Amino acid sequence: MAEIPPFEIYPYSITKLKEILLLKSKATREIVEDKLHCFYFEGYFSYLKAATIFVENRYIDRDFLDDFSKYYVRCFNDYERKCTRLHFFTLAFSEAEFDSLLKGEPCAIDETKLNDHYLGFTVIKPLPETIIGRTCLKTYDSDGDRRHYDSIIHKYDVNLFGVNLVIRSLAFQEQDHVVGACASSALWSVFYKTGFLFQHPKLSLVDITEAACSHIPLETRSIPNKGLTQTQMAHAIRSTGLEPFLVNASDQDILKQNLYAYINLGVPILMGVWLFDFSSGTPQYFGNHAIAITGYSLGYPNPIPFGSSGILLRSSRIDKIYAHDDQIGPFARMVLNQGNITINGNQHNTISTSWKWDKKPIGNVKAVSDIILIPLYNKVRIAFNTIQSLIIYFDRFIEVMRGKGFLSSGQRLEWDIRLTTINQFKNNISKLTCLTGDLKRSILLNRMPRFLWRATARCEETYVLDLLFDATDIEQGSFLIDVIGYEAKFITELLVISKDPKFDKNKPEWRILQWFARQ
Amino acid sequence: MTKRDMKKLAEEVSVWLSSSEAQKQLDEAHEQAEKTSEYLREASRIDPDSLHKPFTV
Repeated sequence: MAEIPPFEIYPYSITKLKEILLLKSKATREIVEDKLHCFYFEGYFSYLKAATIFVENRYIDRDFLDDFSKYYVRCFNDYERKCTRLHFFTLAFSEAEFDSLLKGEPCAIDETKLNDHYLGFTVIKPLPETIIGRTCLKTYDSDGDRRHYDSIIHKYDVNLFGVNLVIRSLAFQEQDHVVGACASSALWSVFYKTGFLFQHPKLSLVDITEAACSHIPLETRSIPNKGLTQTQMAHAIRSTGLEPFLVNASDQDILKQNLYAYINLGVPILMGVWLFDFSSGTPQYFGNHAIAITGYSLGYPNPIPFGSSGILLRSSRIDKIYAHDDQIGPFARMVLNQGNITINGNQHNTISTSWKWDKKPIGNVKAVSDIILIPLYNKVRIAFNTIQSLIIYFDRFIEVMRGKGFLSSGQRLEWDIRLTTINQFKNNISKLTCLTGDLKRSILLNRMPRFLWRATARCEETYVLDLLFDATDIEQGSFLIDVIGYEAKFITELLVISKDPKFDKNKPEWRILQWFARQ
Repeated sequence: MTKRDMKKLAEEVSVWLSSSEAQKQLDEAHEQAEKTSEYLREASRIDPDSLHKPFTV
């Protein structure tokens, strides 16, 4: 048997990629050809102009090794414990050139050049079906601040035979069907990020499934795993020391508002969806699926008024979400607002997916959002609902005052409500050019809690004011800790108005107004 | 904004707040805000039956 070389280098083509997947795993051609990941890779690598596939043979992947040691090693069949890692570059280079680099000889490539053209990596697991292991791929660009996944991605250091490479992404992997189903895969991606943010240990798929089932066992055995419930997913989150926050997201407005509010903290959000096949014309339900939301697109140019109060929320501009869908790929696009269907007598808005079902073409499967599950640091005690509700009352009050001409804002304010940290907030303030001098200095020197709810009001993209709430306080307390005024006239008018003693101090908006009254 | 403008604004607000029109407009605004908040509270509530349905696809 020929010895496997440490590495191989090929010009990129989707045919070559599929060939490598076939060769380096135990999957059949039919399985590889039918994988939605291959369709995803084809579109992704063609858009990013991949030129080279670097095959790193006999790669030891820690995540697979954990699953291997807890399950596959005890199988009668011999499973390989080593994987293959594929790296992708937009630069064409040969094995001879890489060899020269290793030998320190003059050559056309170097570490900087390879880094500049690096698109990331995917690990191929030596399994018969679920072969896509840990995958970190470069994200698409922000398209002029439309696509947002910056808060979610983080830096991965990759070492390729001594060459240091860096990729900014969030790890993804396909569900295993054995040690974990879709929910475990989604949780695995989420924990990759929360582990960095909140310093909890990284869990493998098998660890996640075991943690989820430890106190609330399934009716049947947990491994091989056929799926987790919401309660079990919540339990897996608790096992890391974080708190699960569960929200009904069957209304897409609520989905957008909550995901916008929490995702900017840098925490990916778990979403449960119902999947429907529309190929026959009539929607056919075929199952519940869990994914990790990893970004969003602010595609609508203007905010859409919400509810009877008509509040303008920045989150209403979201037209697409990006998700780590273990059956499709990382940062997979899902378009919101794709028409209604009726489920149990209730109208639900659908979301387009890149799924296919039962060998039918891609594009016939739509999702309906069901729940979102947000892993939160235990000190974040004030929920988004509380803050949003306060802002709704305050916004209506502002509108009345604006309507009477007592407030000088030309247009209705647009509210950007998000959970943030003191570090994120101060970093953002330090970069704001509309704020200068002593005010800026005093904000940056001000002592604040670690977690903040920040409600920014803008008028035609110009900052008007920032309301800062202590997210770690209690709801009964006066958790509005500071207000930053960017438009001096507007703030002075609010200060004057709020001092009138005739305002009803039992109204919710007074919780904000009283800050102005006290100044 | 000058002190004079501020004083003028305070007086105008005070006069308006004493009117029945002010009460009506503020009550209406409060009602609309309450309706929206109430909807959000209700719609984000979790259906307890769904808690034990597994994600299997």
